[in-house]
Amino acid sequence: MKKLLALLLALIMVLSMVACGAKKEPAADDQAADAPAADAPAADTPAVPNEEDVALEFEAVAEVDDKFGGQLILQTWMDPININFYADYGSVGCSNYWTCGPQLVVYKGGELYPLLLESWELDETGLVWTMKIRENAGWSDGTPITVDDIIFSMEYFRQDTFTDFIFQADTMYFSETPVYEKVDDHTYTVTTTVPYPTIFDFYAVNCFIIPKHVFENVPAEEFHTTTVNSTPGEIVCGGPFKITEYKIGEYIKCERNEYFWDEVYLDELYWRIAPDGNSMFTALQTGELDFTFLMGSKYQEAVDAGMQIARTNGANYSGISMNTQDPILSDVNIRKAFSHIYDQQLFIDQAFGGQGEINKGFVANMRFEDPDACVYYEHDVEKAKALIEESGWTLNADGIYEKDGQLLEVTYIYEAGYDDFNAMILQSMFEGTGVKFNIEGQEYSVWLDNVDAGNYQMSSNYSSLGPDPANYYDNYLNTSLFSFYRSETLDQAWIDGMTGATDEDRQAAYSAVQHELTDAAVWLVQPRNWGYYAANQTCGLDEAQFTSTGMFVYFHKLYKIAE
Amino acid sequence: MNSGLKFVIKRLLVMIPLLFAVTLASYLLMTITPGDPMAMYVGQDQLRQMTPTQKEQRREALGLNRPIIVRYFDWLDDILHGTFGTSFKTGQPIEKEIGQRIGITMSLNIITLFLTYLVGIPLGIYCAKHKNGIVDNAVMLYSYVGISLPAFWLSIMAITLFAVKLKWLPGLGLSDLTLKNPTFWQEVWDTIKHLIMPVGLTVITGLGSMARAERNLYLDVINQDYVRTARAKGLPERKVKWGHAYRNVMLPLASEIGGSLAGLIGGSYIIETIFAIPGLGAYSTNAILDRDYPVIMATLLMSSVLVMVGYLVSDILYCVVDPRIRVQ
Repeated sequence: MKKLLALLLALIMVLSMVACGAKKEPAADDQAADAPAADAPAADTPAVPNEEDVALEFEAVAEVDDKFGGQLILQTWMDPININFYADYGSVGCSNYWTCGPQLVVYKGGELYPLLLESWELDETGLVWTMKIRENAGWSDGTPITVDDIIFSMEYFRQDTFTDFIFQADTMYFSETPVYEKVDDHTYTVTTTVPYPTIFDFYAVNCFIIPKHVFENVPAEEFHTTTVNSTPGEIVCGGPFKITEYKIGEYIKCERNEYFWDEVYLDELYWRIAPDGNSMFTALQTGELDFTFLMGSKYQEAVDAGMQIARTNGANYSGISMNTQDPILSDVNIRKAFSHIYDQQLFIDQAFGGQGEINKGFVANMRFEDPDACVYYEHDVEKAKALIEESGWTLNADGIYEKDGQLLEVTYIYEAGYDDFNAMILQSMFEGTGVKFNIEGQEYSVWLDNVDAGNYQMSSNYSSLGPDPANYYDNYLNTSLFSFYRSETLDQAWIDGMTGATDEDRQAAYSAVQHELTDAAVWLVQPRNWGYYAANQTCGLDEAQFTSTGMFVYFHKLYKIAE
Repeated sequence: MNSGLKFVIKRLLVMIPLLFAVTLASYLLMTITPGDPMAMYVGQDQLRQMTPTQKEQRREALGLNRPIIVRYFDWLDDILHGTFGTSFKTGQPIEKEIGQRIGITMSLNIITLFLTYLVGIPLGIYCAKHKNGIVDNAVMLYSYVGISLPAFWLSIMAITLFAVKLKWLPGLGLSDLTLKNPTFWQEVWDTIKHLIMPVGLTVITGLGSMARAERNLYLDVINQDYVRTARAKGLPERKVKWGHAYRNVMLPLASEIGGSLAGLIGGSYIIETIFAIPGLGAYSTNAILDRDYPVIMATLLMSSVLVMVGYLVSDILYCVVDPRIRVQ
């Protein structure tokens, strides 16, 4: 009897837990999920330039006749801060925007793919772009997507009251604001007084198109906290999917947007929240996830498990700043010597588990990368010592270089808890070189304040960037990220790079930038770390492809192979 | 007013200054530790591009520009008005966010606690009765192993075995996303399947020490003079055990049950993280990492209240099982 009571109690507990996590969506949403795709508007095939030239990282896993239907489960690290993904681009809203937002174009490597933006044309002056968006594109509530939405979005995020700088990218590269004018519902022009070649970089990375009819009465300062457009099932989406359900800590469920401009293969796409790397990998093995980012340490395990693996060379830079205003490091010989001491291969082996490659410059895997223009410092301690001695430093009895009674001693600061291991590797490289190298981990905001204020000698320095070096410009102006190095020729080269009328002009400018920065040895250039993505064998990715940031070029062309 | 009620009211009144002291000390300690909450919610690139005015605006919006003591009393004012305030990170009311997670954590921990007691107590008593027998030795050994094995390691091993290799159980979250329009009972079964490993592992790690503690208590009590006296009086063995031995064995357990109350809310961060269970444990730990002061204070206040209430409950349970304390 007692046992029976105990079991009954356990059952009540379980039932209460089920009730606590019960689905919030109305039953109607389930019906919507089963709605036939036949209701969707007729699809256009997007004109994809040079599609055949773009190498697929994933092998085509199978011949699939019918790619329609089914669900795919992707992974995300955390809950969205706001399920209204337009207002949450900083966290997982980014993933949601790509899935559910109306993306204009996308870059994969140097290749531009049209999405909502169907075609574009530059006039003979080189100052006026004429853009055409797809005529059959619609928001998930059935409202057509028009040029009004685009112009509204541009103007919305330019408002002074809009305090979120993430959305101010439109004016990012220019002192002037590009002028948008409507030609008709599906055509608009963008006019500037200087050439604006970075417009597509902006469209691909930092541009957010929001539904005018939803947000026109929401003041900019309330954009992040508004409850408008925050109910799953009612969130107005313009991408291939719409958000229909959100279960805190577990998943975000997206269903096909019937009004998307192209055919969407999947019925459902889930973002499963897996905050831990190990659980994520396990879930991939058990089939609870279909596709995920893969930690380098799991690479071999994933290969052995027969998963589809793709390598990605992230468009990030990672270097170690050497403060050019520091009394010791203001000497370019010392900076060059440190660059020779730095052993990229050792770093690859110890920090990346062998999964990386030596980097010459800092514009890795981006458009206009020019390794030949960069000055490369191979690992050579003897060369380093010669450079140090050339600057008048001599070894003292303790084996440390000394000049005018001052030791050649530097301190490397970094974010504690994040870069500790890397810092130790770095310190080990300087052992026996005659340089006293100290490391000091600091709390994130303390470290960042010190770096920005120039209160450092050497510091870790990393940044996520888009596909175009123009992204670096703001970082260059933020002098701490470029070790406080500035020169007039460099100032001009950056501007030339951003406003070059042709790609050749831009390449020349960015090659000059790459040369000067590496010649001045403002950073210890760190090797590039390969990232991996893994998918189980039922995940069809061949048509969808994905960018170096792990986002798919075509979310709507993801499919699941019927098991 | 009877003395019992007086005792409870007195204890509840003592809790007020105690809570004030605990929360004030915690608030001060939390705010003087290095780290700027404003910096936690902005990407590094964006943070570096912000002007000092923009940074100040952000701090002002979060209320961080005011003196610490003023912020503490503002927080206290919110509490007295029945609200925990809003999260720095999400801007959402904290009680709403806690409400979304508390059910999961409490259910998980109540089931765990219940099963640990259900199995641990009889097992301990059995071991005591069969001291130095095979089961006793095995349980004693297991209790040391159980304490020594880290929960995260055990969890990963269990997931590898039961989820990856054998594919018997799921290893992530609380829902099977491949279930199409599940019925209520399918959902119940799905939840049970997802709970087996996290609950089982927590029970397994806690069971050994519970059984060992119970065994030692029983051995201690069973050799007491009053038990011998009861037997000498000729009382039947059943009455000796249920009337004299077991009741005294329960006495220390009363304090343990009270102490477990706080754990019901705090949850198990490791288990919740590894199994991706969206409970309060993970919520409060993330709040600490994110410097989300209002959330940290809310979870801390809840824990403090529960610890105090837990001890009060322990004292009341002491009175229930031991009449001598009731008289005092």
